[in-house]
Amino acid sequence: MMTPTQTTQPVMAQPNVFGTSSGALNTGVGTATGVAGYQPMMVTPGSMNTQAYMNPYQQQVTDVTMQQMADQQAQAMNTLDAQASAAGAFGGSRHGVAMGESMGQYADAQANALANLNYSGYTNAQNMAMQGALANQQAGLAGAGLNLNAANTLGNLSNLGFGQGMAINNQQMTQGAQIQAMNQALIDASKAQYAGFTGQPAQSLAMLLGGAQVPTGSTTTGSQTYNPGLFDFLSLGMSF
Amino acid sequence: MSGGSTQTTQQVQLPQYMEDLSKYATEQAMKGSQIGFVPYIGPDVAAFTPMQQAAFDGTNMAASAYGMPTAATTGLPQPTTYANGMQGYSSYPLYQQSLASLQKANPTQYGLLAGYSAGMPTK
Repeated sequence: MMTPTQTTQPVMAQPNVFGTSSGALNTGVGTATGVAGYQPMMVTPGSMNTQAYMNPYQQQVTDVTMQQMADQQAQAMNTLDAQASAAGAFGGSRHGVAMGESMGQYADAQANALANLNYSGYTNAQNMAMQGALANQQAGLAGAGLNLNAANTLGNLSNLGFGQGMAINNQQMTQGAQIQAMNQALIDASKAQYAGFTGQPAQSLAMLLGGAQVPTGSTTTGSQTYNPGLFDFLSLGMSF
Repeated sequence: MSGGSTQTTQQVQLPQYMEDLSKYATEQAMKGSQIGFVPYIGPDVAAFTPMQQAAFDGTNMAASAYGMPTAATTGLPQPTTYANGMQGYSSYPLYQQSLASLQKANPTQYGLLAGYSAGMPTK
């Protein structure tokens, strides 16, 4: 038989549910606190690392383009020389003006091409940097949302575990009280029998006294001779 | 001597068995009065059961897990185990202690009362 101080141990190595619940609660609170302090990344031009998104082959693209334009310019100059020679004007002033005009046009064209290449390269880098920054911002917000969900789940699990533990605790208390009530009933029954034993003398005496009541009609009548004395005469005289 | 008169009287005359019964009842009453107060020495209150103790332990575990104060014991004395294995508490020790306190505080009253109870503890 177990003594009141003995308790049955769990069959499996189950952790203390209240410890698990309080641990989940603490973790949930910590996580929620972290989420509460979360500051999403601010997307500003200054926060973007545009240079990281620049085309590493930008220079090669530019060089090739410039080279192609230079080749075209050389071919155009050759054509212009041939035309001037055919007209007998090679080396003349008109030939010189035509050459200068052509070279100027190609220089403008090269400058425009270079500017466009640099502009498109930088614009592309800016767009890429913006997309990257927004993606990082969204990832951060999504992570914060996951953490908040996890905190909520931990809170719910904490409540669940605590409730289950308390339900078992209350069930044990109820069942234990039922057993105690039975023990108390046995004690009360034994006390009643003991009271019967110790009260038996009084009970027996009450029965005896009940049986010793004087019955009615038990009187007897008798007569006896009486010789009056002096005092009888005196009392007789006083009665008149 | 002349002049006497005859007076009629009535007297109750119990049957012999009634006289015997009355005498016996009186004797029994005298014996019973000498018994005095008979205290109950057995258990009065059932002790907490192991299941209740487990519930108490569970409450302490819950309190401890949440950083709240715990109670190491119920504060009750160690229960007595009786013949059938049942555990409980008896008021008899407290009764004895009260008698001893009365004897110490007011020995005259105690002595008078003790005279009515043959089985009364003298301590």
